[in-house]
Amino acid sequence: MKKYLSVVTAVLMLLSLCAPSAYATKNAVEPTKRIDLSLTLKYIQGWSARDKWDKFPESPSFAYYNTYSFIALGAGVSPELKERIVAAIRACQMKDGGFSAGPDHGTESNTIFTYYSLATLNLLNAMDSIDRDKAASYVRSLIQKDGSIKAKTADAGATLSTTYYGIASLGLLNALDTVDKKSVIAYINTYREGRKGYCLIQGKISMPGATFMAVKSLSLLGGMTPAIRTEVVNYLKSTRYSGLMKNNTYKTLPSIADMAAVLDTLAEVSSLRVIDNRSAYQFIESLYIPENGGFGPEPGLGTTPPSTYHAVLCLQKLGRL
Amino acid sequence: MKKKFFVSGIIALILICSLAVTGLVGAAGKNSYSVMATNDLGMHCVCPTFDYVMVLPPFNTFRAQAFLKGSGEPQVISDAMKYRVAYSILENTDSILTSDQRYQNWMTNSKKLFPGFNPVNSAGRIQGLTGATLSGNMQPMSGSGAWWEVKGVPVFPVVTGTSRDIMTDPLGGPNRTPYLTGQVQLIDKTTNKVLAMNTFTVPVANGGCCGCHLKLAESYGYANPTSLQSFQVMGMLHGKNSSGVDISKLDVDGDGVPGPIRCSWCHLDPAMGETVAPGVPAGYKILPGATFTSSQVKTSQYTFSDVLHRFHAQDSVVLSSYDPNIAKNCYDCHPGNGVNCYRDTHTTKTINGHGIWCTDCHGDLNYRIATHQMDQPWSDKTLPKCSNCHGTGNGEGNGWLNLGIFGSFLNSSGHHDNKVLCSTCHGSPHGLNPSTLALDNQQNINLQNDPRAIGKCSVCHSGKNSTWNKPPH
Repeated sequence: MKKYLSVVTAVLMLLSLCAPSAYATKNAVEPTKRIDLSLTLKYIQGWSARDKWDKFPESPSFAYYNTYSFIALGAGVSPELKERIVAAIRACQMKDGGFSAGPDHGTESNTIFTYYSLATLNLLNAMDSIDRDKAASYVRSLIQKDGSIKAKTADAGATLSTTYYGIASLGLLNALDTVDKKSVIAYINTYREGRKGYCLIQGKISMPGATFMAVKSLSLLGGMTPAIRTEVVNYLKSTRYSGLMKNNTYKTLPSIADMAAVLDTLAEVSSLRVIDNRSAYQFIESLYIPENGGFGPEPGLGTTPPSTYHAVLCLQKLGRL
Repeated sequence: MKKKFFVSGIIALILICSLAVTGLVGAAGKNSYSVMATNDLGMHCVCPTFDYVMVLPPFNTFRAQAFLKGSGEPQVISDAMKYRVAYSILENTDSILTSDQRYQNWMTNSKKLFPGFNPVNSAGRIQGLTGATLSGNMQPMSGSGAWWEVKGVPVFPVVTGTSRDIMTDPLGGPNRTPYLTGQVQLIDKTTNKVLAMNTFTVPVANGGCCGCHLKLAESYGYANPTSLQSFQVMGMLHGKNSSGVDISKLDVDGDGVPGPIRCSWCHLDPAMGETVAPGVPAGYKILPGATFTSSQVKTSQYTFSDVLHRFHAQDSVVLSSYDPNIAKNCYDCHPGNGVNCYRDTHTTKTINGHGIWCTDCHGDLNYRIATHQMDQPWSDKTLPKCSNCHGTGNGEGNGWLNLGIFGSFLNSSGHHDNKVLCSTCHGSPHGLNPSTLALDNQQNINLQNDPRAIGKCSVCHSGKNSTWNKPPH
């Protein structure tokens, strides 16, 4: 009897083990994370092929992400795509000379969109396709008494970030001579944290994104000093993004945007060598999404167009393209 | 030898039970009945903690349809006198959630967020806002088709310690499982005999709000921010909008500590089952340091969906400091965090050579704002229609359930006299079959040995062929 039961048990077990495998459709095998840049390019090309509600380029920043990524990945921008992008950006230029959020739904000018419009045209060597004087005039109209630059006319005040977009826009328009550089530099330095980097909010703590915007603005305005450079580099080395802080723990998740800000800043001050290139690459690789070739903004998150642009920028700065 | 035999027997028993649970072995021993269940949205967000602010509570809705396959036309089972449809969740039982600290946080704060609500019913069981328990019976529903439904099951992502814990915890805790295993049974009420059973996905996840707002608190000077500090920064920024109300200065339970605030008190959120915003419950206190008065604490003309999306997509500080265009960054807020809730068959398809992203169906955020879609959130007037791409012949069915909420996919039925809900064959929106998540496919595999939408006539019809094909819609 026992023998009989054993045989029945064994048969049932075999049947049980076979059945699920016959129906399984997806193995729980972790896909390899190796970055396939051809797939990344395909993902970016996919965005530029969209033509339904969101006809590419639906916003200046998207135009910039794609154009930058195409060029960085060595694919270039086809004449047809260039024509489409330039036409869309031209359509964003408003009567006041600034640029709006998009050709189809933008209603007011903003220095952020103005910057991305100009930066895109600059990459495409098409700056002459828009009214540059009017664009410069628009940005100048937003300059405040203390040298800061607002994002848009309706805003009450300015911040380091909005000032950066204004200065970067004027830089692309070769119109920086028309601003009081001394006062802008002084305003930017009100965001400086003693012996560290720059804060998004005055008097708070240094952040990679704010540090990038400050350093880039100061470089454009001739306001970078050896002391600031040294302190900024030291600050960036102390962040998790340098790959040097191996034993530190953090409450928040790291982000690709901050990684890009760190690398972009270090490139601006010719100090990329100070970071652990391998660790930085591993972090970027960890955000790669093999299913579509894009990159997520932080661990666990799925692909977005901005985070994919940031990853391409990071890989370029690391010499990994 | 005896021990070996005993162990083998136990293992075999467990495996047989697991097969029975997945429906591979019909518990009734016959194939004359079948039952299919789905979650209504394919994903439900829930906040990880409720101490200070709540965007969404635990609230999951399941729908099921059961069929009797006889010699003639199959019947859609709707007779609540003869049958009941029972549901349960493998990873969410009363004992599991009672010992989960995060869920305890909901139990504590839910009474403050929903005055009059008790998270435990008179029988001592965990209950949701509608009174639904973690296991029980679905209610019979009727429209153009008959189905069974349970609304507001208080499910919560849990730590299982397995590879299924894929959801990153926005507050830094261990990963959790966002895709729970639902079980549905069709039971003969007279004999209590299980006539059919099946497995379905119960999706629940945290979004990206907390993670991003903790970082925001960092930029406001909190090097290692707590949830309270994060809430205070959010409240301060809320105070800068047209309402002038710093929500972190509102003490709703009189304990001297801010919160907990329920966004939908002031901003109508149809997802909470309300048609008007109820307002902050009476008896709240304004904490010292506030620069607003109680006359400013009033309901808003803007829906929650509208203010939330519009602010993050258009505010100059957000755009200049974080991202110039969040219009397609759906996963920054929606799960998202290791979960990737959009996982269905569309993720494997292309249009004009490009993959299909959320915005290809919903429109991107800038478009949705510009066309005032957020004024009518959770409505078939603003949610995507299958027929936009698939044509009227293959899009929504002709039956209309009139749910008063959700898009046309969830409101429609088709097939013979519109008796079959679209979701019964196709699965949940965002997890449509064949899904890239194996659990989503299990139900259809159990029924037709194929992960695609139900396409074998023999699943419901006697004597019909068992080759997969597109049935009449």
